Amino acid sequence: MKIDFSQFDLCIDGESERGVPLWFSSLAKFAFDVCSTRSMESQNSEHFVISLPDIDGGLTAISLGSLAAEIARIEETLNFEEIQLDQLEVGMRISLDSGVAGQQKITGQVKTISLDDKTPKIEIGSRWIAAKFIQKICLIPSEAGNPQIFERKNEFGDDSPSFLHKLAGSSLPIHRALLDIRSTSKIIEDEFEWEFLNPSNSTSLKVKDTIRPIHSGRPGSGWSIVLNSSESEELAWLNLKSELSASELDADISLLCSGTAILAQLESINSKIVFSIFGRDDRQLLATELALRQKYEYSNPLSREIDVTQLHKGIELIAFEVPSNV
Amino acid sequence: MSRLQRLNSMYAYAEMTIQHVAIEDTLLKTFSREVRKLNSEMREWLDVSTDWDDALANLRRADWRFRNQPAEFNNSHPAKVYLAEGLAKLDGLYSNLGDDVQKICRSIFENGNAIIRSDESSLNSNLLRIISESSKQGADNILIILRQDDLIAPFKEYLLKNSITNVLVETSFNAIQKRFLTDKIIVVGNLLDYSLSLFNSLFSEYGTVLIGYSWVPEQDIVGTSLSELATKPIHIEISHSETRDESEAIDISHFLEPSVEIASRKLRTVAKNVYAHIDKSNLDEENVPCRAYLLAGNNVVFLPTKEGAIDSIDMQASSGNRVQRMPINSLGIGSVILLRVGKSDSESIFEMANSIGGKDAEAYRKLQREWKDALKVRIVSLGSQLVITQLKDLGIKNPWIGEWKSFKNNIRPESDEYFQKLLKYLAIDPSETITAMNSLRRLHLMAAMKLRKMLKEKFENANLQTIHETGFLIVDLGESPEIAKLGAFVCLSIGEDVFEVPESAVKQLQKAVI
Repeated sequence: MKIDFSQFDLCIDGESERGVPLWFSSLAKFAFDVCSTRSMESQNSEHFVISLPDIDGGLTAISLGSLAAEIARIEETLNFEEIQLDQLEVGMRISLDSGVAGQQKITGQVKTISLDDKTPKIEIGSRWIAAKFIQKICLIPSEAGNPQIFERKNEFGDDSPSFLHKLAGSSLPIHRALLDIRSTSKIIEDEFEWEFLNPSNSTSLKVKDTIRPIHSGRPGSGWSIVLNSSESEELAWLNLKSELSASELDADISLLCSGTAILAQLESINSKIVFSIFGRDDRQLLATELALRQKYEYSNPLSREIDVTQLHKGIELIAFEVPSNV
Repeated sequence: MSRLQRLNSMYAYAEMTIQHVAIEDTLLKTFSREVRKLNSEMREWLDVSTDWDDALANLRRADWRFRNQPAEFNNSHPAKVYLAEGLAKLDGLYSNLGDDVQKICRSIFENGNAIIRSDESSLNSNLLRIISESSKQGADNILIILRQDDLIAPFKEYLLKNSITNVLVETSFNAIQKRFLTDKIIVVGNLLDYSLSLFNSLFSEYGTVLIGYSWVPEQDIVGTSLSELATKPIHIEISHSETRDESEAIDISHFLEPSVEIASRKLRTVAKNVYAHIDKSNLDEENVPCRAYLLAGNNVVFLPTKEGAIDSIDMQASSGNRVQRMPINSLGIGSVILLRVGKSDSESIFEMANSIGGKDAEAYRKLQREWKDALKVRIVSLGSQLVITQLKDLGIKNPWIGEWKSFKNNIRPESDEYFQKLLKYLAIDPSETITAMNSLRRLHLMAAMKLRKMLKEKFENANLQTIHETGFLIVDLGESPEIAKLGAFVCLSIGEDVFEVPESAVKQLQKAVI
């Protein structure tokens, strides 16, 4: 997967300019690079503190880059082993393409196998699928979570969909948190309405189409969220935790966006990669900087090289790592 | 401008070099430096002396506001108000302190007063210049950042008065939070006065100008408070420039020649030496308790300790109100007093009264000389003591014969009754002499008024810069050579010892004898 916005215009509040700004794409590319080159064996938690002149766009850009990197990693490294119909067993977690041209993606746990019936069929989740329409069956590796989806596959106008379309689609049967976003509802509600317009075919993708919350029984890759703005949001998070397994909820990448989120969560986050993003106009700037400085005091220099030159001017980066148990 | 455009232009102009304009203002610089010096010298006193605390608090507020409050620079400008209050409180606080502190205070007085008199603020003029230059460059919306809320309204008024309408004035906090969209940002003060966010989160097409003063050091770069930890730090350069100085400080070291400066530390010795040279031969002359005042130009004057007033110049007053009668007790270091140079007051008035009265005055003088000569003859023949006794026997309670016999310093006794008795005692027809002496007294009064008027006119219209520079200014009173010159002298030191000075030497300028 490649972070390429070349076919899109960024649209905020209904206003767009030609192309996606460099400052935005530089953040997304940086996040993609950092996440896609991380060591899976590392026992450290890598922190990337990003300060921006204004918080706007930071969450979206870093989320898109990180999510793209995580999906690409799963796509490349996990073995979605293809099996035949007669190899199916109850309890298996599978993803199958069905329909005349395989235009439906159905993913879930096999509940019943009735191949000897007059009309041979299998039950996945609560759905029965006729065996004659099944085109392809893949075993889902445990790292992909426990997806349960029944969805018409997205049709793309060309053979090589953009990374945004890939994120928006459900071609990959992944049902687990890939990104742990912690921010305020104001930022999330605002930025997730931002759009990427494709002037060549007059289509558009909203940010919320590409970065989707993980939800019990809902398809696609996801992000979990802890909001700090209200008790009801905290309650929603607790409910989600009760519905999903720990493996589904544990993301390797955390994104703390805003001084509020950093102050509330920095000490309790233990992900492999932690992005702390804040605007230098943040009302809690001093406290945020102090909290980050304290974290830095007990840190080590990053043990790998990262390319910071791609970051646009006006963006400051502090990178360090701490042992995962600190 | 849309939100996206704002974000794009913010990143486009991020890390643009900040222009730092350092104003060179020698007058304010000297004042500011001396206030800081005084604060440092008196630090230990501030906790125990509310007077010192008040004085210095006002002076420091003034100093801060001069550098941070652009507004109409009239007498109600808060900096001037604080300064005037500070100077008033400082006056009289330091006369008993060491020479170093006195020197600092004198400098604060002189430079402070010069600032109060000035109607030009270097901050105002430079701000207007930068606004004008920015507008010419193409900046339509200019944002000016001031240190605190109460500075904003007066500056807006000042801008309106100067027909400037394309400028938004805000505090740093508001500007950052409101995310103003501007073409140019002008920040009044120094970088460390503000949150770093102002410089690393607000950017504009024509950049940021930081306008401060040359004696407050400014940084060469600005980042964030975490920049020293950063793998990719924010690094905004600051380029420095300095304005040309348009003011001159008052260097109070000019007030004192080196030799006299030594004498100021030994005023007691100097005063004793001067006192020793005063003519005390006239035993009938009354002695007046006086203190010695060391004046600029290597001069000393003895002034009464108990009461009396003296002409002085109020250096803060506008032309027309400068010359004022001031109680001697309220004189302090830095006061400017007026004294005849060469001849005494009474001599000047004597000469002028003759000039005004013409031939009539000659006749009056003849009668004046006759009765005074008669008194002198009587004193010589009978002796002062007997004459006094005889006059007392006639019912004259306090016969001041020593004063009455003086031709130039006295016209007649105050009491008509005593004067009649005295003239009869001297065998002189009272009616003609009393009438003539009354006319002569009116001539003296007219002369005194004319002298004072001339004196006032001279100093109301004089260029007082010389007093600032040298500590004194001497002017001629009219064309007539017999009329004395008049001098304005800055008081440098006031002695503590009291001397019994013959009346004729009181208020007379004396050369300092070291």
